[in-house]
Amino acid sequence: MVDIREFFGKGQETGRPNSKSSNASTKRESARPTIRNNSALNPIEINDLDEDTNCNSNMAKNEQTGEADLLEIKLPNQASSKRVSTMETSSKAQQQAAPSVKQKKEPPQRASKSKKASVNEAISADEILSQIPSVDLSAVHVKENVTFDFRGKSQAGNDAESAADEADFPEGRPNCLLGLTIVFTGLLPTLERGAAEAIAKRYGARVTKSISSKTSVVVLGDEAGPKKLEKIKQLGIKAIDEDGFRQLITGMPAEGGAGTAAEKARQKLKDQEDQAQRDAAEMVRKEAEELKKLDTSRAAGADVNEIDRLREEHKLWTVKYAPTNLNQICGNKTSVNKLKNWLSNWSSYQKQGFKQPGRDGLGVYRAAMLYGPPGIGKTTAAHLVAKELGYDVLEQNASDVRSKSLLNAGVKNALDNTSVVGFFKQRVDRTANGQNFVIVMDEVDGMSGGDRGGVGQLAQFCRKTSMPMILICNERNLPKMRPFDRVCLDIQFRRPDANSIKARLMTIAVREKFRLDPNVVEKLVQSTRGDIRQIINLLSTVTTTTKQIDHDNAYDIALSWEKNVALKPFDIAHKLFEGRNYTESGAKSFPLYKKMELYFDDFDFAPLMVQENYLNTKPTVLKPGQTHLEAVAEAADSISEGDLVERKIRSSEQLWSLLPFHAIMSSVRPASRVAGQMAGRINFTSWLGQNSKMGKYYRILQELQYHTRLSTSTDKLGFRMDYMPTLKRRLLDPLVKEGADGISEVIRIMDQYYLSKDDWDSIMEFMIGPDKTDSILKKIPTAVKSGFTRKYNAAMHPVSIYKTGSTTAVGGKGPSSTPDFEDIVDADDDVPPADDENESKDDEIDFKKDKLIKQGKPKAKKRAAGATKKVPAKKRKT
Amino acid sequence: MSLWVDKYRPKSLEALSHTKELNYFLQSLSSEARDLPHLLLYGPNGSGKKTRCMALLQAIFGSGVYKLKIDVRQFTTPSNRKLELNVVSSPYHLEITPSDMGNNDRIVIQELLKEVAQVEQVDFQTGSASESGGLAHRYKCVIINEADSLTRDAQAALRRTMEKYSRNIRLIMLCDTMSSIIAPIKSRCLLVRVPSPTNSETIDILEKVCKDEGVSAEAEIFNKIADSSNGNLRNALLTLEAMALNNEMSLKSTSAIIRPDWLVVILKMANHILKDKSVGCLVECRSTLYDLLAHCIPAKTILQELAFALLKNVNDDTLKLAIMKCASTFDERLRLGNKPIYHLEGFIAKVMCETSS
Repeated sequence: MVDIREFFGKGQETGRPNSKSSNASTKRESARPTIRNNSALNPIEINDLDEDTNCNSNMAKNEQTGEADLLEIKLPNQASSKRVSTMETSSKAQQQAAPSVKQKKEPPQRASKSKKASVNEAISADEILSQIPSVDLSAVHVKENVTFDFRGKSQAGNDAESAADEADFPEGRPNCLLGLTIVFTGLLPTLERGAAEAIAKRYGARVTKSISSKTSVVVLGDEAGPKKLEKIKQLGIKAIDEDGFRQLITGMPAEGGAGTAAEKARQKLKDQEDQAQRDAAEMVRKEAEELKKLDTSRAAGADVNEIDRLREEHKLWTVKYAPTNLNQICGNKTSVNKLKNWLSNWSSYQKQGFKQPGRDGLGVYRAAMLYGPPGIGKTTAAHLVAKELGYDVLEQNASDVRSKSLLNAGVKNALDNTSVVGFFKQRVDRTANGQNFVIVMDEVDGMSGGDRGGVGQLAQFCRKTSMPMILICNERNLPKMRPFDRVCLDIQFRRPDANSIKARLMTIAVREKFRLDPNVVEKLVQSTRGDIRQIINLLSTVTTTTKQIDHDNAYDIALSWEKNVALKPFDIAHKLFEGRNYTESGAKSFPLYKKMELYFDDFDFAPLMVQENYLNTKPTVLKPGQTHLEAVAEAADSISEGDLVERKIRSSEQLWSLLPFHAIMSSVRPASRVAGQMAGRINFTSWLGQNSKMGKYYRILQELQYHTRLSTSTDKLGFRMDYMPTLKRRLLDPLVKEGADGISEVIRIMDQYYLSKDDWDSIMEFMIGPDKTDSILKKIPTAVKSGFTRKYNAAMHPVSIYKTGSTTAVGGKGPSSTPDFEDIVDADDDVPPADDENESKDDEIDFKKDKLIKQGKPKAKKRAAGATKKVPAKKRKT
Repeated sequence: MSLWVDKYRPKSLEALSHTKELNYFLQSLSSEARDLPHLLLYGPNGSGKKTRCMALLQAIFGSGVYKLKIDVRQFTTPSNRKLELNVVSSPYHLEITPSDMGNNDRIVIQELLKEVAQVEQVDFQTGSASESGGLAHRYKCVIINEADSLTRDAQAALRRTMEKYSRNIRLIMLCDTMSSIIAPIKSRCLLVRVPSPTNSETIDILEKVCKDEGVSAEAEIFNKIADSSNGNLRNALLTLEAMALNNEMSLKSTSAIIRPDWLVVILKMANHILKDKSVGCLVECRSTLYDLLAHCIPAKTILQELAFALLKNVNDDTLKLAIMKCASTFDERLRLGNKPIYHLEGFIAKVMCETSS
């Protein structure tokens, strides 16, 4: 077991080396020299520190609370309530002392590196800048032969250890660029843009992309844009080159020196830190209270065992630091407020019967739908809002089966319940009545196969619920979520930006006693894509091994915790077609394997998206002398070859190991030929639609072919390609030329070919090109059309196939090939099947078996029976 | 009131009007009907395979074979999917198109054919149908349409059935090309090639039809139609009818040949390609191709017609060679690949490149 004390000891290692307490028995600790302290000494030491105003009082305070925790864990049996209470009082005393001390205190980062910070701190940034020669704006070509490997540096980590790096790029003082706003433009001779920006940020500068009046300095490289140069001149901003940037970093004093900008920035940082401290202290206080409560209840003989206490201690960080009131939710303030407004006015909406939208348009919704990516506090927000407004929460999430029947059994009852409750408590104070429920349906998009009919049922509830419902999901736009359109108040939660998370993280850092450089928070946020929960988990894990997260290890941490997000087809296409990725320098940062990874993000859609969009680019990667068309032809060729590979993969051979090859052939290679800017929007693949359209037409064609089979002798394609053009003429021209007089002729032909009215319509649909029938059909007068339909429906028509279900004639089991002796008698008929001779015999059988006649109207039946000769073809179907 | 092509379809071997030698051959087969071999009729579209096949059956069984009906048969795949197949049948024969079932055609062969094959005809009498009026023979004929699109599995399933049950069943398979028929099947069948009618035969038939229908026509126009139909008699007759309808039953030698809608689209596309060799044109071609494919025009046909149309419009021999080379490359890929649109697009892009330089 790792001694928790060791963690706290390590946390202060740099700030207060003498207070290090450790346990040599743990492996980690054994690697370094340690000073062993008796844990019993700690309280005394803390008291000493209290008097020492020069020391970082915050650290001291943390130390103290840490020790308090420690003692509780270490000596659970002895930990008397008395001891805890002494701890508490001393920590309170410190809180009061803290503000006065803070004015003079140095941020913790400085303490470690302050050896070098002997430069006069009164120098302001302007003074330093004035020493650095400005770049002649008319000749912005500055070449240098300094080799600099930033990558090596950033990965090597601790700059104090690697002297070579120091020589290459000057080591600045911590936060020396604080308060400066820097713009990088053009190609720097040795530094890459990203690297340079990282350096600047690392020293506390703000890096922006565009030049404004707030910009304090511009670092100019080669080939800077003329507009930017103009703006520099116009605003009179100091422009320096890379060398100057170096000088700036070496020259600047720590903490940005004197100067109002730096002062302001420092103040801001300090405020942030103070806030963090306050929050942490508040949290500590609450925790102590909780503990006290536990202790007292135990003292009172209540059944509180050790496990309960440990459970308090061993909470996950994400639980421990979950927001406990609405103000603590990071970001999404408007969304939370909207939800709060809605819920607080819910009962008044209900009184109006959800008829009046109200000023904000919330009044018509009985349910709200929160949606947004995971880990940004949707569930928390729902619960907190409910809590704040005095609602009890009835939650169902993906761990519950939510099928239609179960929802009906469970939730529906609840819905009815409250309606009665509402009836009773009309005049009762709502908070006093604990019967106010809100249903929270979490993870609605997680309703799937097992929850048959659940989504529809839930949407039904949303329409008629008599108690507020809050639904939560990640993806609002899924087709599955369609039923919730317009029945729910949609409230989107967005990923909070780094700034809104920062404060919270700093609080945690203070509370958990590790050092978190505010400047790297952004990086962590970026790598987890704004997932607060994940960042907290990350911190929780990382701090078990290191107590310091700053620029030196943030890169590694961010990389190893990078959230692997499978891109959507559109993003895949966008990235694949980005010309920048295929240039020499672009390929370095986005090498082949990464392009292939794009394909693997969605290997069903990537090739289709590439194929759909490769014609719509403006290529920037053309080889010299190559035309756009040639590039496109190469891409098309590659796509075509890729299809052969796909066949190998998907056909019976199932050679899935060819996927990487397919990635190259179907996606990366074609994209590499035509990559550039997109000429328009990226389109979704039309292949799917076209394919299903084709499937539909083939089904229709097959149907047609079956129907006409008895009169024609051809296969499906022959029917389509040879018959259909002429048949269309025979079926359409009489109507066009003769109008109503042509109807009977058309119907005769249809009967001859066993075509129904639907078949007539589908044959018209089959025509393409100049023969397209849309316009011709429009020309036929409506009277003729309706006359046609009426006349067709009025008469009986022969049908070639009749699905008889379980009758004797057809069916899976009974061999239909059983000799039909009735027919055999006719074997010596004339060559063309004569109509009249065998009519009488056949008809008798017909009426017994033929469902067609039963199905027809009684009138039709009579006529069929009376005058069978009018429907000569019917006989053939027997 | 049916179309001429159906109205004038010959129903007996004697009435068949082209490729007389084949008629004699089939007549001799029908006279020895007891040991009718399994047949494999192959030949291009519109050459009269089915017509001949039915005429042969008529000669063997009598005109009862034209008393057709369609049944819907249900099958259950091993994975418990229900499939339906329409079976055209007369008392003497069955006609199936297993390719309607796509990949499940093996089931059809295994279940349906076996079922038919295992049932012995009971009421057979000696002598031909015309003499006795009873069942002519103890076997039943099964016509398999589109045999070239049978999967290999299905063909393998067919092999043993053909031998084992040859007492009760005779197969007549119809296909366009024999290349996709496996060798064991070929060796079990009598292979009959049904050639297209020659131009003069086509013209004779057209003339006869015109006379019967009372269409006045100049001789020149028959030549034109025969040329354009490319040996496809069905096509020729349908074209004739379309033209006759269009020109009020009097055809002049100058009357324009009416081409089917899809062919017109392809020819237009070919012209467009040669006129405007640009990426924008390719985009337009894509939508045209999608349109053609969606409306059931097979990719193979599109490529073929497109290639021929391009060849016609190009004068340079080296260019012609290049186009042919492209066409054959992409034709192969069409067969080996999955998504026809990729290959058609690739072909057009390549041709544009070749011809623009």
